[in-house]
Amino acid sequence: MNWIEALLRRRRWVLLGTLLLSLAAAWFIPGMESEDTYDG
Amino acid sequence: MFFIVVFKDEPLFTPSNLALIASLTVQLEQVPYVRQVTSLTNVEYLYGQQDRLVVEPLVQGLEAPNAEAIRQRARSKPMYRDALISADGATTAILGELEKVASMSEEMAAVSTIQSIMRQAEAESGKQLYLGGYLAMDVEIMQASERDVLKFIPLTIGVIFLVLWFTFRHWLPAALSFAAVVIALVWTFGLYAGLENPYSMMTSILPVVLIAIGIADSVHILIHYYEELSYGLDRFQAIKMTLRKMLRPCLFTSLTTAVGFISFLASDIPIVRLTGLYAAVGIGFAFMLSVVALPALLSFFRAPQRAARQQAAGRLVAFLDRLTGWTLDHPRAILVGMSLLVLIGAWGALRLSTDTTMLTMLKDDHPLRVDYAFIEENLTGLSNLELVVEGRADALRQPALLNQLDALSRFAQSRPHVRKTLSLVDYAKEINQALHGGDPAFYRIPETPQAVAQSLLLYEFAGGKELRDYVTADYRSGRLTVLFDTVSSGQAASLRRSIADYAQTQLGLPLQTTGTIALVEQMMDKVALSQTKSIAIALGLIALLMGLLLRSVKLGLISMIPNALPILLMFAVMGFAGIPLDAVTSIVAGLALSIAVDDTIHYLTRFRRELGRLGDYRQALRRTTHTLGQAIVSTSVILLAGFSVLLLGSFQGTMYFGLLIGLTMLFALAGDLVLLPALLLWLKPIRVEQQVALVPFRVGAQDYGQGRR
Repeated sequence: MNWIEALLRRRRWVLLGTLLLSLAAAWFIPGMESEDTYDG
Repeated sequence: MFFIVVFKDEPLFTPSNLALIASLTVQLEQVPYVRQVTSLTNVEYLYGQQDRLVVEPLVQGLEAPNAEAIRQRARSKPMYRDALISADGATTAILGELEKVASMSEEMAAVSTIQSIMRQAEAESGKQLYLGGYLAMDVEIMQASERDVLKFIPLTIGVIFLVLWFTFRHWLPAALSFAAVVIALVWTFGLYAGLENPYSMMTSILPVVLIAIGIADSVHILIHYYEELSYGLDRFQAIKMTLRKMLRPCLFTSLTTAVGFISFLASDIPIVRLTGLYAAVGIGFAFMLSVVALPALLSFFRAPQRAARQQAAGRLVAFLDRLTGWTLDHPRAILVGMSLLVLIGAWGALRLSTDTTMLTMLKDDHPLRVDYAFIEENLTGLSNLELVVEGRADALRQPALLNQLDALSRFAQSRPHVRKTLSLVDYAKEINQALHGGDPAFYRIPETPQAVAQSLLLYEFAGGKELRDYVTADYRSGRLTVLFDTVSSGQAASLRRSIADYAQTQLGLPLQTTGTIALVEQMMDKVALSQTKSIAIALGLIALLMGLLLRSVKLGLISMIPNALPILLMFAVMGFAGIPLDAVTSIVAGLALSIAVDDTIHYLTRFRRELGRLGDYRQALRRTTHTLGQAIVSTSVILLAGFSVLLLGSFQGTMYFGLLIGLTMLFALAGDLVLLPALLLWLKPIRVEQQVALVPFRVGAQDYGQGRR
């Protein structure tokens, strides 16, 4: 199970990456637009 | 998209009421995106003067002596009745229409302007105004969705955190499993918004669904992690063992759940497809975060004290142990009980109906439903059916065709729930009467094509415009509007069919039908079809995945029994309670199945390992429930609690969605903890020797997992 070892070795990078991705995602959320539900 | 503003007063024709109508008409005309507004004050009034036709607004001046004259004029015209003015003359309407191109946000802006005009007029006049029509409905549904999502998210988070607290009795695992799912939610919505997808009623359910379902992976991983710790491993060893054992079941539970959502793609309703797709993506994110970010995060925290944890879980585990003991002693009774439930379930499921209306999507006491009820009781029906008749050029100037259209209108009026019909025919009669000095005997269609053509020409010369709404300029095609009460989709569909049949067989008129009724009917057909398709896809794919995971067709099929039964029971509940299949409830079954099956996957994976280790069915079943039961109960309760939040929503559909999924989870929990062990014990689908041979390492319970890192 090498990937588990690798994951635990680079755990700080994993968490940093997760955090950055989350910030990027959160950036987009307020821009959501309403549209007609019953268009077809 | 039309809207209608209504009020009632007796006597209606007073200068102040007429002033109110006039002022509302002018104000509503200025609302952005409103194409036209028709009311008693600006509707066309026709009369003859010598041999010429005069078309002018019904109300010319608003002085007191005029009011009585206006009343007489208004009451004399059949065309206004049940549309602008009620049969008893006490209720009146201001009808408006929005431009076809208006988008949802423009519609919302228009409705809120209309509502503020109404509130102001109410304050000034002291009259109560009512709003109806498809536009108001459409916008209300959207706004209620937005209100709901703001209510759902904090409630779901609160409720689930409570369950997590009872599961772990420690803030750390509760917070960690939460963090994983909240991050998954942020990623999903970031992607959803980033790719410029629209927000809708369905998207308001998405966070609740994702939080409740996505948290299961982390809960299973954390509970297993603590189990490994309890065997004396340090936290790095425990994380490695946990991932090694839980990766496969978690991957497969996420896959089956994703499949349930992907089955939404079979739906013909675009927003349902979109929601399914993003829910599947969200489940994928939750899985990734549970097996990558969660362990990484977990490795930074020292493990909590063991004693506190064991005490917390102790009572539940003791109960589950007793339950398993009873189950293993009475497998026959359980199987007989199951057969009975299948019969009851099938009976109830046969009573399912797809009857639904837009209106009943809202709860009974919703203000819009109150307004609808008032308008339909006092004035006219708010649903419309548009029948389009087409012929050669000038076809609609022929008395023969007009008489056929007239016969069709009279037939439509004779049907139940129909309140009013309007077409070119009404104008032809009206003009003819006006040209004959208002003599009621001439309220009929002129007899020769020349007479028809001439009267219509006179109307146009006089500046008449309203007719254009009912016939094209070349008199090639015209429409018949049928206004009827807001009834169920089944009743509406049978109304449309009876009118179309009559036109076809009695008159030989080919018809096209549109209007709200056609939309509803289409939706209903789609719903029934997408239900069948989505269940078939979900059942097939999930059985396949189970067979693959368990590497046994037999075991795959057995695993479906404790999950298919809850679905059948869910249909039975819907059948007995009269909950109809609609856009929302139609997708429940496939989804419930794909979630319910998760615990079965965990159970069977664990059971195989225990059977290989212990070599005995009864012991292995006891051990499986003993170690896994807490996680299964906890994730099921999380789902039940999470989906219960939807009961507080504004839509009946959303409520039913939450209720039905919650109930199904409860049934499925019983299926996994009672029915599944009984089935396994009865059928013994795995040969013990074979399973023992499959497990490469056989270790005792005490030194379980030792020595491998």
